[in-house]
Amino acid sequence: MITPRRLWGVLAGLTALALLVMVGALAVGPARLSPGEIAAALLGRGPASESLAPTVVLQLRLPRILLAALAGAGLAVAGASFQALTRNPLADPSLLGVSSGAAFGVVLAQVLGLGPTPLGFVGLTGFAFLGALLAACSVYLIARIGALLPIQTLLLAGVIVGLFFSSAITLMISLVDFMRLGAILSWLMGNLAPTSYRSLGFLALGLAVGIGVVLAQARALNLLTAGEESALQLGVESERVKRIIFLAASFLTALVVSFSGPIGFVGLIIPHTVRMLFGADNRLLIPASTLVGGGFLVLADALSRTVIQPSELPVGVITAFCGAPFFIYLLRTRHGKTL
Amino acid sequence: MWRVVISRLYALLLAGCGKTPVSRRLVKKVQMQGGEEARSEAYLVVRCNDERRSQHRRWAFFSSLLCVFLSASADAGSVRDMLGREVSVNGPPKRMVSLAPSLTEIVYAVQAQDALAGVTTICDYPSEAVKKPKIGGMVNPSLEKILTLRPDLVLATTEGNREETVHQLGALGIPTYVVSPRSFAEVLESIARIGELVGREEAARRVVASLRERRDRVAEAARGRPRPNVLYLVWAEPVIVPGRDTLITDLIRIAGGTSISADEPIQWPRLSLEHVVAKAPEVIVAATTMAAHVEEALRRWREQKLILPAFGTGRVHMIDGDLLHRPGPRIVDGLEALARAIHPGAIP
Amino acid sequence: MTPLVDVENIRFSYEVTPVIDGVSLRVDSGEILGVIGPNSAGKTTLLRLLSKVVVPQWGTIRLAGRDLAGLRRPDLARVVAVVPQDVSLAFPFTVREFVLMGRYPHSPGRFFEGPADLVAAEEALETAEVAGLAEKPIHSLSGGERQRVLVARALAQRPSLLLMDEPNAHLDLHHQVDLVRLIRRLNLEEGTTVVLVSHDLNLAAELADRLLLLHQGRVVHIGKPEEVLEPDLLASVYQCPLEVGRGSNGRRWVQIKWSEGR
Repeated sequence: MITPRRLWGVLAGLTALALLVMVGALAVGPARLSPGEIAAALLGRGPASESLAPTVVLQLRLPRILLAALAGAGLAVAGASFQALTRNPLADPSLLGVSSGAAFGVVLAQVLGLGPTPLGFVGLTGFAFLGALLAACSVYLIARIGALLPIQTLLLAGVIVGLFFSSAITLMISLVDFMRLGAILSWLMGNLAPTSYRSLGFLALGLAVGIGVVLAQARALNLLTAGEESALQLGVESERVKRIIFLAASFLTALVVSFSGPIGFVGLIIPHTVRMLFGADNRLLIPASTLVGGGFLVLADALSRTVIQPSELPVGVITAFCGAPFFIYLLRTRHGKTL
Repeated sequence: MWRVVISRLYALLLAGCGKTPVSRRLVKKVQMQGGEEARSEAYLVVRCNDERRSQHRRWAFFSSLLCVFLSASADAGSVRDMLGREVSVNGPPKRMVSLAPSLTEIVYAVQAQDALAGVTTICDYPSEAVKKPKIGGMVNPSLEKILTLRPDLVLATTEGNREETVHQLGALGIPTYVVSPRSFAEVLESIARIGELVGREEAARRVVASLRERRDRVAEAARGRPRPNVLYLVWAEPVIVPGRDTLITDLIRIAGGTSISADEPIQWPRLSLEHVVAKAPEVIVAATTMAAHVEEALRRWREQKLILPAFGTGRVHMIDGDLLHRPGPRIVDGLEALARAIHPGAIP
Repeated sequence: MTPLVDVENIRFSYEVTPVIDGVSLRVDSGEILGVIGPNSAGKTTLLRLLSKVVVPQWGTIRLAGRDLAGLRRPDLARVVAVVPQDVSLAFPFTVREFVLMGRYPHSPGRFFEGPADLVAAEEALETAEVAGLAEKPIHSLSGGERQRVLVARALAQRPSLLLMDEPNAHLDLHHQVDLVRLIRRLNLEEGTTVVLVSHDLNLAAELADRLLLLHQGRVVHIGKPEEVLEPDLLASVYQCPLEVGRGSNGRRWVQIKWSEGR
């Protein structure tokens, strides 16, 4: 059961853990830096003049860790929201076609020759975001029946839209420059490249808004668990809540995917893990998922940077390798239990 | 750039100086220096000439100093890479990182390997290159690793490196020189440019000259002979071939053959088997790493009764892929191998 | 006296065929109305209409004089509670968490439940005799336990009107008796009005002050149990031979005449 004290207690603990993970990840990388150097660089204190520490820490590692934390948080909340919305614990943000839409936007931009612009987040990111929104709107319009948003049609529409954009991506890839193929495929597996602090700020703001909207509906989402009819009878405006959650979760997914590419399994694994540890109440699930999701992706990113040094694995590979066995475990343990 | 302009103007000025008539001031000066003899006309002329000469020498000395200064600062400016980007360099680089095997091969070919501080994990030629520190792959190099090597220049290519990597290196303040070797001529150009960049123009000139000579020999040997249709298989299932704007198509053409996909506007088009049969290739070429896959596919095509002229003559050749796909000095080895496949006996 | 529920000539169809076809009825405050009828008579749909899950295409429903159409959902849920046939949860909530959901309409804008909510939930758990199951996840309960938990959630809402859909379907005899006692107590002590849908004619006969016999979306008869539980009337509606008798407490009982073949 959730009381304010339990909520803040759990969140405080998780925050401490997440910060620990992030600080630890700062020490990971091919450049050997002492903790003293890292600390000095973080505090802005100029170290020995020729030291690499400030560049490595502030321009390479820290932006990457922050991006991983934000992306993980966004995806985890989007996953929890979609699961609550569809009343299906196996739902993942990628199910609703939004990731494919964003990927389509990026591939289109690259094929049209619009590379990463000096403007930073505008350009590729903008295209990804537009693609994601296009997908989300398509899903919404296809699934909507009058004023209602039936969940089954939502899932079907999501799968169809996702397939459509995936096929479009395949088409473009088959037409495109072979040499750029590597770049596109690399992006499609998740890409936590260094981003400017301004872009990160923009991302953080967007995520805060999206997560805030979802959190405001957390209690209503709990009631939706027993079914829409039940929720209606308890005073929840089901249709309105569904619409808000769908749009907020799509927005969160679109935002994250435009910055970091489609990273799978985070939206699936994290809410489940948190639910197993702390219960199903969305009022704790949502905020806890941001922290656990962020920490998880920071860890996955640190792994991706060290596993086959000096090459880097795309982070989507790591999350998939963690996610697939977990998914199988879930299916097997839930077998027989009422879903 | 303005420094270059000024030094040019100054040189012009210098050239013009030699033509000015003796000034009255100069005469007065000589008269004051000389004594009694200074009054004679001949003395004046000789002395004026002497004076003028030393004046010129002084001008020449100082202006040459100035020129050296100006050109030195022009060197401390920038060069333009093959994409037209300005890359700031400060004389020949002392610590270079290569982001592609072809670039590594070029650096070794122009004898600049001592300045090579880092290479990719797939840089395997020459064998000494393997001992150099590794910075990751072509697509996802580790920026951090590159940074620890403290390079003053990074070499990148449009054929395999990501634009994003180049941008990120720029954001870290590391100058990156990008080559774009899309044709045989451009490969030679890239060798020459890199040679100039690393201060090994002479070695580069020799390499380019040697490569050009061998190329000409191949072209000469192929002249006058009929041009067979050549199918180069990048992949056999589905059939992926090089299109119009690829290096391989260019090489096939020089080697005296015609790629069956020479007109395809897409860089790496997929062809249907029907199309392949219709084009009737007389020679089939593929990379040795693909040998098993290609042979399997060809066997299946034979079973399906697809008649290709190459089957009848047995002209299926495997060539080391690195010789054809790496736009570096060994591209001519690949060219010669292609020529031997297309016109057997023409190239020794 | 204004009836608590006033249904005026409502018509409703999910798609084309009307499921409720011109039904009018009144429910007085404090009474227990039993709704009986064969399958697809529209019983569950009637409950849905009364709880505004669906809206009639024709006619009005008034609750304490106010048109349901203009009533906001949380306001409605503070007055009307529904005990559905069953529930399946997608996620593992505990019994207490589930029952606390019944407190939502009393504070929809609040993030956390207040102490009053916790007290109300605790009382509801006690009354429905599921207090011992409070920390167990719902999916681990038996059908009967789940049904009592549903009753507890409805009780937590502190409703004036309780709509129950087959509340005894999974209950064993012992718990059925408890349920009947509970409903009676609520009705007498709290003055809760109850509309009870049941296949079990005897349960309906036992509890109800009045019975509503529905058939194909229409009211066949509404009135005292003696009037409605009339053998020929029932036989024509249920299409099977029935025997109606009078029990020791004066209430009717109904039994199927098994031996009489069709």
